[in-house]
Amino acid sequence: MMILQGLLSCFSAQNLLTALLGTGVGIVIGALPGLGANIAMTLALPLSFGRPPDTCLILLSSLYCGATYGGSISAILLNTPGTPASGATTYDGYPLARQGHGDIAIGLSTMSSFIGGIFGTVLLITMAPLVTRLVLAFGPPQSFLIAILSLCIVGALGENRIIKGLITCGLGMMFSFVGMDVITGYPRFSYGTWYLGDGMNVTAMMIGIFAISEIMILMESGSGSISELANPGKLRNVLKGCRMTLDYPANLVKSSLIGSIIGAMPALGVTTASFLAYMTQANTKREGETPYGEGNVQGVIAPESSNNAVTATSLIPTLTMGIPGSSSMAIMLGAMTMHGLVPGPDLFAVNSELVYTVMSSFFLINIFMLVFGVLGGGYISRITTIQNRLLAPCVVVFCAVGAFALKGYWQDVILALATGFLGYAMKKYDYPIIGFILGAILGPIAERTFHQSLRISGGEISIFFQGTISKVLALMIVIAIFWPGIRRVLQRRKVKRA
Amino acid sequence: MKLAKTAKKSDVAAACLIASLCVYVIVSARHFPERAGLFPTVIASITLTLSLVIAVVNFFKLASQRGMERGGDKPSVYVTRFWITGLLIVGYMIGMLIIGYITSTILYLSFSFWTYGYRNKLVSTILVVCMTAVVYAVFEMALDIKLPVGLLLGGVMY
Repeated sequence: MMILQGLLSCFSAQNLLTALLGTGVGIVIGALPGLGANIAMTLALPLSFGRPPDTCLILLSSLYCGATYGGSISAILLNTPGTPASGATTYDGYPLARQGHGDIAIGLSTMSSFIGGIFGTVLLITMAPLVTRLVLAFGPPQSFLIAILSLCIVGALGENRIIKGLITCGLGMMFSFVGMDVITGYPRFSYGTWYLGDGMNVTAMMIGIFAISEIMILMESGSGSISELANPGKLRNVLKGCRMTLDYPANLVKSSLIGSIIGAMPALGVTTASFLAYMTQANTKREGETPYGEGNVQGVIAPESSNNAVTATSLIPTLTMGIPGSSSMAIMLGAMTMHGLVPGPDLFAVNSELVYTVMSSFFLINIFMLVFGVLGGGYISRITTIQNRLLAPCVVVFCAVGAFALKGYWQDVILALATGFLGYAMKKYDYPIIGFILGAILGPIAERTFHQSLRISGGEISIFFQGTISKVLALMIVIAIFWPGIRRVLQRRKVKRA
Repeated sequence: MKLAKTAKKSDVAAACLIASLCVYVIVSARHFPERAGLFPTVIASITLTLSLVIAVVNFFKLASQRGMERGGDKPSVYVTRFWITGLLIVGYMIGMLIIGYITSTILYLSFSFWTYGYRNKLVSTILVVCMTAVVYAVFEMALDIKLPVGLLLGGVMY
């Protein structure tokens, strides 16, 4: 009953217009490199003063969802993830764009984002208390094991590059050690500078490693345009991409579930979810299938459905426990507090209509996202047919401004530049850059949860193997490490039988 | 575990470079308090071991390849294009911090289009002006994000 009431409240003219505007603006901001949901939400916060609390929260939610989806547009078309959450989408989205299928890739990303978002919203509305109980079973030891599992899956990604994959994870983690230690507060590798003491900016690193390195490779090869075909983006192809998405229900459900669970867990975040979903999918590659990283459509579906499922379920710990799982949710929590709402179990009893209105608004937001993506996808994908000698310098301008804009530090521009050259070298020497980025993202999470676990157990390492969840995760880590070998043995047996 | 069947000197060099970075991290971490140094030491040690494996395997491959025909060197035009692109990007990014966003973007875009062989002056000019103005309008005016003014024009580098 409350759900229905909430859904009806969403359809007030003010809320509808807010969701529509918020989603549109969110998509544009998300597509700009360096800017993401946090900036969009922070800028919108003052605008929401004096508005009813449900309208304010719908505005922030729509900006969050729109920006998360918008990041995939520049990731696919320019190999420049608008937000860190779209980093994994570049692996197969950009090769598709280069093959002249940018419009199809946008269709894939739009539909999988929509399905992921709806999946997460259904979970949020129907199972929030149950998911909360499940999430409470995940403490620091389990979060640590998930971080390690993600890193081990990276190693198993490239059949011929297992060692290189693991090395890049290690390198990424070493970059993440720069700055203040999360437990002791000791400044590591900061050489007395405040910038390094603050740690490396992952967004600037991603701009460099994905976009700037790709610009160098594009201009070095002297290719005419990003798309190898002079194929102007068409609505028909965007719709084809949307339809193709539905051919992979298992991938959609699996990735959305990964996103929903990771989203509901404080600390792991949207970027981890999308990379984990991508890597899980990439490790299920079948014979004869397009290799991942070379334009496999499932490589777009997995991260996109996962990162949009996160947007809904990340509200669960925020609403039910008052624990923001990410900085975007912290802004949301701030907005709720400003309107006199106290997050926690009582919120559902005291402000049930408001809570269900906000939850139900995710349905609307995802529908608007689908409409924007389908209608605009064909036009925006035409960008890949522009001559590289005109497009590349413009992308560099966006990269430099995006790196600077995030915090206003000139050092971030230098970091983007340096990681651009590093990314170029890694691509040339066949070191997978996915490992580097994931190492940089998961390094602090793994370290913090590792120390927290040891503190809980009094230094006993056995804490990582206590309980069913930990044992299952530990087993999955062992399987992930030996998976390439297991897969080869299985393939040989299959060939012998045939 | 599989590695590429042929090796290049640069593979060994890259692995050695990573290994030396790991050694630096391990040595530096020894001066950290126990808890702060534990994780960097463990991760750097694992990475060091793996990079040494790569270096040794590629070294032996190189030795066995000795006398074989060398191939796959990049044509010099690729190298030239790489350096031009790299220098333009470095020049722009550093220039932006010194002479500010507007001046450096106008100079960078004009010079890049010309260097990459685009000679249509009208289109170039329109694109330079529009790109500079649109980015400025979006970031500085719509989003209220300050873009670099440049040290020469009184900007502050902090």
